[in-house]
Amino acid sequence: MNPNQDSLHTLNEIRDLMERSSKFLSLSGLSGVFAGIFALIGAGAAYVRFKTDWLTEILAPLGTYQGHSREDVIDFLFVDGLCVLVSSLAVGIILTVRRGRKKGLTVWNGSSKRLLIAMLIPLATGGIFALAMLHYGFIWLVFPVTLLFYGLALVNASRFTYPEVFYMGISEIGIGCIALFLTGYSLIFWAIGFGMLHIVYGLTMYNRYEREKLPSGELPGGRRSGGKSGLAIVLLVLASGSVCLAQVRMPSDSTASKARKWYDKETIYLRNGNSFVKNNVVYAGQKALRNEFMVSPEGLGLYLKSRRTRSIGLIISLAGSAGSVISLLSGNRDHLKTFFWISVGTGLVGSGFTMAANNQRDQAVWIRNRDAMLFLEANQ
Amino acid sequence: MEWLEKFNKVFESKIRLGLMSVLVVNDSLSFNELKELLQLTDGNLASHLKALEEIKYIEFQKQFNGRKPLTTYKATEDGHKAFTEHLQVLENMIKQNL
Repeated sequence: MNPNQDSLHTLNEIRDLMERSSKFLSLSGLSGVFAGIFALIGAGAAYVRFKTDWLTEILAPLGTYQGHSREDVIDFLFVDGLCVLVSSLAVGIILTVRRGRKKGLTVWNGSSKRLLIAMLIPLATGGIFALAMLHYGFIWLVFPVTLLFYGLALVNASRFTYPEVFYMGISEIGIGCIALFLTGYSLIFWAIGFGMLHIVYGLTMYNRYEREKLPSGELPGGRRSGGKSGLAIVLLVLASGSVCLAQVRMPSDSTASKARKWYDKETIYLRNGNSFVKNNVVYAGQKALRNEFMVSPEGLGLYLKSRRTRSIGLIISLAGSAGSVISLLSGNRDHLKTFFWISVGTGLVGSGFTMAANNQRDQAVWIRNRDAMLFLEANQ
Repeated sequence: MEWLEKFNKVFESKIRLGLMSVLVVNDSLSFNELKELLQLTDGNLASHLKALEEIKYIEFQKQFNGRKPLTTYKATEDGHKAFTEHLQVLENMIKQNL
């Protein structure tokens, strides 16, 4: 055998063995998503239970507040937190065991033990610390502290599992630090840290390691791991899921599917300014757009009208801003007030015209697409 | 062929190389863990472990886990060094042949 290939193969095998023996790689991404959902439910329950008085209770450190008693709050939070923890752990363990079996790895081995110990030391310390704070009545500090210690546990455990866990730990610590100083929003930060971050992390891991292959065009945001894209990912997953369902339901060779194909091929939609999309291709230019409108004289007329309206709006608002610039430069105080109102007025009128232009343009595209469908029969 | 001379004969066997690589990244592993990781039979694993032990690349420690004997294995300093050198040789070989 070629010695080069052979040694490359050997090196790969060594790497694989090293990873398998030292890292716990059965951790399921979906369990992160579930943990996040449970945390959001828990945070929601706490919010519904105490509404706003709950926050005032927390913000009154010496407990002069009447209503729900302090013990009430502590008991509820304790039970709430315990429920979230137990349900997330249960689902996490079930999913992880299932995934481990699928990959042919045992779940309870040296690496998972090490992972657990690495996580448990900071977590247990943090748990005891949080209990002590509950005991002394520092309820408003418990939320950031749980975030901080959880983040430390993740950073500590990241050596024994996927490297992404490290970044999640750092983010938890960051959110915890912010929450330390914005105590009024501790529940929100807690929901972001335990809920949103888990969901984002879980989906990222699921896409990266568990799903076999991404279907094309689906989940463009799935690879990003930034915190902001969390909601977008969730929405995208829902949206793409429903699109898939819709496509599955469509019979492959019916009139509806023909019409749909035709619609996909022939219709257009406009994007910023002069560019438009037809059959998933972006075209640009006034001339091309006008050609597209040739199938529908009515649509073309309306489109030209919308352009005129837009130009009028643009001229008015430009005149307004020119006026305000001149008035500012002139330094004449008497004129300033007049010009101010004129610029506000022109701005409003200008946006009114722009809105009307948008309506006309949307209608024009709609008419054009309807007229494009007329050729369906003829071209079949 | 300079790299051939440096090629460590002990690591010619895939199993011994695998054993060494696993022991290098982990502090210590038990016989059963090794067996599971490398998917070997008891006898096969024992003979390879013995070979590594004889040239002092690994060392073992026998203790009791309740009533059951528990043997854990560890890579020695020599083992670490030899393994790193062997990896270097493999890497050089790939580079030269590219």
